[in-house]
Amino acid sequence: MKNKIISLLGGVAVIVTSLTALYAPQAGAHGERSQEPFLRMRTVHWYDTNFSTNRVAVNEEMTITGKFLLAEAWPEVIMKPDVAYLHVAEPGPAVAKVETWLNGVPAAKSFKLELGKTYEYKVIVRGRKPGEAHIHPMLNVQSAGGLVGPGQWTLIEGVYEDFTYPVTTLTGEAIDLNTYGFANVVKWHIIWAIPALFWVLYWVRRPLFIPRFLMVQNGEEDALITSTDKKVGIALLIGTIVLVTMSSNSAKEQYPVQIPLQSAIIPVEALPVTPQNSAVKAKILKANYRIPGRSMTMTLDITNGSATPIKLAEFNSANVRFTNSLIPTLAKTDSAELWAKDGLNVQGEPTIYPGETARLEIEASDALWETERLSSLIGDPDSAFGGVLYFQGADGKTYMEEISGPIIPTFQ
Amino acid sequence: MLNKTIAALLFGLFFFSTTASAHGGLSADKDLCILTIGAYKMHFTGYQPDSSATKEFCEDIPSTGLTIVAMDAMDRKMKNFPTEIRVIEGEAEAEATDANTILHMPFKVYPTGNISFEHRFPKEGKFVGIVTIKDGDEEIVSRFPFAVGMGGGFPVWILLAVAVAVGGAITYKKMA
Repeated sequence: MKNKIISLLGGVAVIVTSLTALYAPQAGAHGERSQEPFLRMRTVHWYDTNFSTNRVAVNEEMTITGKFLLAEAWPEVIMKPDVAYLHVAEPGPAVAKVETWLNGVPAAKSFKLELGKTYEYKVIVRGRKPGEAHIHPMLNVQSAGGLVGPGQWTLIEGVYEDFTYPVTTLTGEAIDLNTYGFANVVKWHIIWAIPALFWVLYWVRRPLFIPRFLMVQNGEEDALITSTDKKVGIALLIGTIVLVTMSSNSAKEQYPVQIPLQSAIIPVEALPVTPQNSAVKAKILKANYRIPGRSMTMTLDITNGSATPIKLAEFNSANVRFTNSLIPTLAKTDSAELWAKDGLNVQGEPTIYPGETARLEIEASDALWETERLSSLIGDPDSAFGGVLYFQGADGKTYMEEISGPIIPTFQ
Repeated sequence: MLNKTIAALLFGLFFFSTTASAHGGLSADKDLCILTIGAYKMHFTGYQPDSSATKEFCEDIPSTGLTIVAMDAMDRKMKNFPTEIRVIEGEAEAEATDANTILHMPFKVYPTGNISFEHRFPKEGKFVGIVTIKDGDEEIVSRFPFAVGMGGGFPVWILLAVAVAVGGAITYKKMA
């Protein structure tokens, strides 16, 4: 009877495994849109993003520059940026990263960053794989993942075979990083795959999973491991140790000058506090998201602590820009795809004079709330939003203030 | 062997899902509901706030009552196109007449790219949504038949319950 059950379960397992091979679901990711709204609205506020070009040849360089403000309203559920790394988000290695800089400091290592502070970055990439690629600056934060900035479609022209990544090592040797050590990597993968494959095949021919579990339950575990199994296991263990020792010695012989993997965390001083990033204060009195109209309305008290009259020009959240059409001086600098031109409507006295506190009713409306999948914030457990307000000063400067708070979804 | 096969097939059902179920111009693409109008696309989202709050649906409307539909342009050019919305009662091939039109929004430009409307469906039935856009001199029409209150797809929990029951019965019979 037991054998029959084991046989039945084995048959089911085989057929189910075969059926699952037919299952091929579609990949559901939508790039940055696949991230939950709270990750995009309340973590990194990217601005002044600039791509030096939208067309590079293979081996040609492109520079991405800009600034980011780390939100004070950083969600409690993700790690703070105590270990962060500057990178680019791209569909596969379309471009190769050449240099990264944060506030003028080379950013090859990870950084410890402070919430509420502003940083200026520069990333230089080199065209690698021909085609059109959507490329973004990205801040990787330990345990939080990649927090993606505004993207740009970039055309990479030429032939992949022409790509090179020349560097000179500490010993003066000129190498091409694109191909360096490739044969060695393949060789060692094959060497390790042989014992690994042998070990898997050795055990696959034996009873697996449920039959094995049932045999143990029935007190037949002695039949599962034979003396030959033990000998084979010991032989493989010894062989593995020998192989590790041999490979280590071989690496030391071939590469006598080595540096360990770098794990230092570099502190970087934030950009100084200036009137542009500190003089204007906003207090949210009420915020609603009207679901059918794709419209966020806010009531705010704005206090102008600067020395110049200001007007609200833009609300930016999750890289989506809602701009006020009544302030034509505001230049478009970021991704055209995420620009809700005329998407910001401001009720109340438009000019706020120095020392004055004014109450504004603002409405940020556009289909981008939905097409960028920000509407799903209504399903977040904390129902909160974040963003940055940009004010145009009469002195020609831009003043900014981070805002965040609870938001109530409504159908009215 | 037959029992084994039945059990395996039932179990295997759980691994299958369909993601593309076309309703005229309306289809579920990955996790989004897309309305195709010629070369253009809109996000389509339905809500029934009285019965399911902010839960979104695509294509068929689960129950009668207040229904809110939001359509969002995925192409910036669409923000400049005059758009007309019409909902008629009838089968997929029904022609629009004044008699069978239950909702009509004449041509209008929606600068934010969002078109929303609400309607209270008093009874179950079959309907057709018709969206027409003017791209220059060209009028592009998209039709999507949908049902109200006539149930959705076969509930997964029933499949699960049947599979567990059959699997359990087979195992019990074999062990008895």
